[in-house]
Amino acid sequence: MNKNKRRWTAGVLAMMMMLLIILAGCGKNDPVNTPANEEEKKTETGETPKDKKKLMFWNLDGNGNADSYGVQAIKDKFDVDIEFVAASREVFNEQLNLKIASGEIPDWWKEPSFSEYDKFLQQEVAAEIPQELIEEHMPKYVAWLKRFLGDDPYKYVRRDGKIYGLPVLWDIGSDGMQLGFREDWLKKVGIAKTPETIEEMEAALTAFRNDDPDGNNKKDTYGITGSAENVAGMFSSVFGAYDAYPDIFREKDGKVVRGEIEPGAKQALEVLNRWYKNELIDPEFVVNKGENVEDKVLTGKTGAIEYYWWAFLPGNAFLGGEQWYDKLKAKNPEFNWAIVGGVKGPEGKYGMSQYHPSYASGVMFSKELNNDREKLIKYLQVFEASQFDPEIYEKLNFGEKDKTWKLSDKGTVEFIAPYTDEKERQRAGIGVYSMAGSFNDYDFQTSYTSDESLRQLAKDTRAKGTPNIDILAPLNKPVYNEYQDKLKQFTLQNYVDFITGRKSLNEFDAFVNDWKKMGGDKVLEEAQKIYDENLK
Amino acid sequence: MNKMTQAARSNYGKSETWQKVKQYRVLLIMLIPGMLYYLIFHYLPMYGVVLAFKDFKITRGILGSPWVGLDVFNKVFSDNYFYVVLKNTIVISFYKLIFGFPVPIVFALLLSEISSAKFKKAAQTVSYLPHFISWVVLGGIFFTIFSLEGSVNTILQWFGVDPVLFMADDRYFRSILVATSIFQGFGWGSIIYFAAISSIDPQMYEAAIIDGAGRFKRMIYISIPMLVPVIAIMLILSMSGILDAGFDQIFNMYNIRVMNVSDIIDTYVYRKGLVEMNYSYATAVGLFKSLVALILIVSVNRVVKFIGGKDHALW
Amino acid sequence: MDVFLYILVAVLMLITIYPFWTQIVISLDGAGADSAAYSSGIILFPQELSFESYKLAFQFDALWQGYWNTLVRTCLGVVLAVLFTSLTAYPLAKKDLPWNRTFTSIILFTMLFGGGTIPSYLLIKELGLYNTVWALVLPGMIGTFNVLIMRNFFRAIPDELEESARVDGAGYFRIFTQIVLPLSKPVLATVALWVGVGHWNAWFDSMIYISDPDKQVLQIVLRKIIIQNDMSDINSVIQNIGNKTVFSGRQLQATVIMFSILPMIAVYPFIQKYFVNGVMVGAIKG
Repeated sequence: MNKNKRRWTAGVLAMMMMLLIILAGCGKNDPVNTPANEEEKKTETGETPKDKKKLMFWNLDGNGNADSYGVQAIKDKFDVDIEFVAASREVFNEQLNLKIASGEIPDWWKEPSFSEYDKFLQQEVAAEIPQELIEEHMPKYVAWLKRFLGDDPYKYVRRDGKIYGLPVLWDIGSDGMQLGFREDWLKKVGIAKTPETIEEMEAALTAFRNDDPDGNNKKDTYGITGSAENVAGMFSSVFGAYDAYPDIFREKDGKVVRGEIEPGAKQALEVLNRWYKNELIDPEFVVNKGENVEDKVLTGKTGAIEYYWWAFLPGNAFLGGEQWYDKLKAKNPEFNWAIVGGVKGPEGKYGMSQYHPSYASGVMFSKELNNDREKLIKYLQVFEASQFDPEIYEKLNFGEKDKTWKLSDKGTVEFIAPYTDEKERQRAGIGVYSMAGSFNDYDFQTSYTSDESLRQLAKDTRAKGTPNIDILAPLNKPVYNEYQDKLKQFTLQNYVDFITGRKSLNEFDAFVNDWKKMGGDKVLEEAQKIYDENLK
Repeated sequence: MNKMTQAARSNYGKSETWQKVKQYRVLLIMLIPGMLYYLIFHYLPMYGVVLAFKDFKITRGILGSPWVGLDVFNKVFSDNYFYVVLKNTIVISFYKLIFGFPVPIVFALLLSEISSAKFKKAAQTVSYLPHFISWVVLGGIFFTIFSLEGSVNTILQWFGVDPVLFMADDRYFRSILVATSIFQGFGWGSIIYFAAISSIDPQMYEAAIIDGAGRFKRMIYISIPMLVPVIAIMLILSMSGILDAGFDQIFNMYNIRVMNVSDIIDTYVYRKGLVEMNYSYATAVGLFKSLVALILIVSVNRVVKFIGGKDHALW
Repeated sequence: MDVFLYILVAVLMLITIYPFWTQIVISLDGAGADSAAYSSGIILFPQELSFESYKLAFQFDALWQGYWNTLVRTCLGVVLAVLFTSLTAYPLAKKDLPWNRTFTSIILFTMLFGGGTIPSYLLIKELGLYNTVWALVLPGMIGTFNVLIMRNFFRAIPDELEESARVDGAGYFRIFTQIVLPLSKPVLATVALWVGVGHWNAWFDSMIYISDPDKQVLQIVLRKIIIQNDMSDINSVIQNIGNKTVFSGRQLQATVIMFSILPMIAVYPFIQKYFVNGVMVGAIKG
């Protein structure tokens, strides 16, 4: 009897625990859910005249808001209905692939890589986009493309004379990566000059490791950290000093080369191996992901880091928002970054590996739109307006002028209370959603976010970057596509072993041979052919 | 009703069946939802295996895509990487079996020697716990434990061993997989042996004590021999799952640095199919796995029956 | 000898608990630079006790949403599974049921063979289950192994009980609901708990069949933070509540880990017994 009672009590307790969770869950969720539900109702019951086109947009972060200022403005201006399709960013590709494989092709999808682009074409699921249409309905977009890609911005997405994607580009990627040193740490360890050569860098990193630059009497700082997620971005400045950029195609005297098998790479690896042995490199670089790197930078565990230059500057110098600079400055008033575009090697070469501005193909449309020209045009118009037309862009990103925001005397956008609070802005659907999720014209966009007094600083900093890009990135390379995963993994494996000393650098030549045998030879052969045909 | 009885009378064999059908009609009706479920959710999608023999074109659908015969399989079997994956799968599975199998048995034997009921209970409760935690969470926890500053490296350093990046080192990653999978499963796995031990007749032990057998001798000469049938059957049963190396665990713990030793069939199928859109290829590899599993499970069932464990046979 | 044995088992227990304990310590420590999240080595106690990171987790709507979704799928899944598994298993327990071997083979065959991801996905789509909780509940509703276990349990129920009921004029359905099911509580509880734990920890189906972030289950929310190291969601919570403390990624991860497994740890000792019974039921028949 007694035992039974105890059993019951335990059961009831467990139930109560569960109930508590359920209740807490409900209580928390209701306020969040209500606005969304209302929205749904509205779109459901809202009358849709027959000729009104219903456009779909991806809602990747749950931020799409059909009633926000910007979306409302688009609906009115183009006489369309707008539907948000929820999607998870983490598995967007998997879910998109499954959707398409099941025959349910969405109206459009975002910038697949070039190899995926060709796969979609092979599967015959994409619509052709006539060039005249683009030029007619997206003049500002075309002008933006031409500014960076020259007279024929469609060259990378054209197949057999037809265009299947609206080209995307990321112009600030081509010189975005730079090397930042903690200037306050340099001062602390008595180095007056920002390191400009590989020797000076080594001296600085050694001091960062050994001379307690954060003054906590613990040897818990490293010279530099990074991430081995991809070879191209791993300690690129060191490889740059020896003019070898792994994982990208470059041209030297008319010949296409791959940095990972160049002799320069071996020298760079020797340096890195020495640094690793002397504990200048954060040993966890092998497992770091982007988030860990950021964590280590922001908590002051590393003295040097390779990253985009705009993170090294105050947010209002360029993109707006809180950048690394702002976050570190808030904790430590002494703090500053000393920024360089690379460090010089023995032959005076320097630089870092960057992204090709045409890093991916373009926005693709469903084959179905071949039969609905009008809808396609609406999409083109909405993309143009939401990314390039100041009126719509402002409404989407900042809301109503002089109601939710005003232009400050520094020339930047200043929100008006209560919209100074991010939560308040989110509720009103301001500034959290980009209809296309592509086509960022930074000259245009930063005119709202960058303080006039800081624009020169941003410009000067950007100028330090070196445009070492993969010249073949946007070109179709079937052989490369087949071998790239294996080669990348193999290279990464070996490079980490070389750096951490698990493999002696005497084996570098053997690595090069294996790399070639694994398909690298064929990849290089194909690359040379493509280069000769397209770029010579 | 009347008609049916007449029909039944005319044919003896048939009539028996019909009698049964009549008698069990309620039961047969009860079976309908279950059978419908199996039909819809298991048998309907099976036509998908034809993908392995087709060149899948999305716009033409599964059935409309052109047949290519065994082309896809030829591609699979001529791909070196497929063999890497196959080898990883088998090696990881075997390690898990060899090292993971004895642990629950030993644990059960140890526990059975403990006299304090409370302590025994507590030990059991604690040891089952990891079984209830998902690999998402366990993966996260192990990343902390095996990190450079993690506990394992700290202990190694006490013995003068240099820190090792376990999660990103292909020399150790498989061991990590095996160790963590033992951690997750040993307590849970011990239940059955523990039950078998407690069902041993206490008189046998008493007799042994009278004969002067110590604790160790009793374990060797009574407990273990009594466990042998259970052990044999569990061992054989686990052989049939040799191509299941643990998708949940590996998918949440592997990374590109250790891909060469930890990419298994299931993770490979996932990437080939859903990430790279190589549906036919992924289906072919999956089909290969299913076929091997089929052969294994059928033969294992035979063996189980043969050694007399008819009670334990699946069918 | 005895002491040695006790120590050995105690050490094993400690090893089992320790990984969870470190997470508790890391999550409870302050956010300072020498907190447990950064310090290396064996972490036994927090330097200072602070619930700051838990306060943060409480404000993390996505986590609660995930909890809720997981609860819904678990409850729904368990009820349906127990109902339909027992309904299927009972007829099969009758050895002289017509075509019993056929039915059993039909069920068994699915253990060995499946159609693969795309056909299953197509099916979910066609049935209109995509992006609903039904896509997580229905496809795995009846587990073949569970059917076999239940069938064997039902078979072990003495025939005399059923016979006497039949003599009293009870039909099979009544026998099933009024005699068999009440007698089978252990096996029902076992299957319920197995299915429940499976649902609680499942994530892959949600990743594929659920596109709406608001409908994702807890494990997916956790996966993003713990495995993919993506702190963007939780960081925006920090920003929204205007929290000025800088938490390390490791501490945030530990906090959401504890947050997600605490209920399990709290409830589990009480229900553990049923699992254990269940394993016996399943493995050693009768």
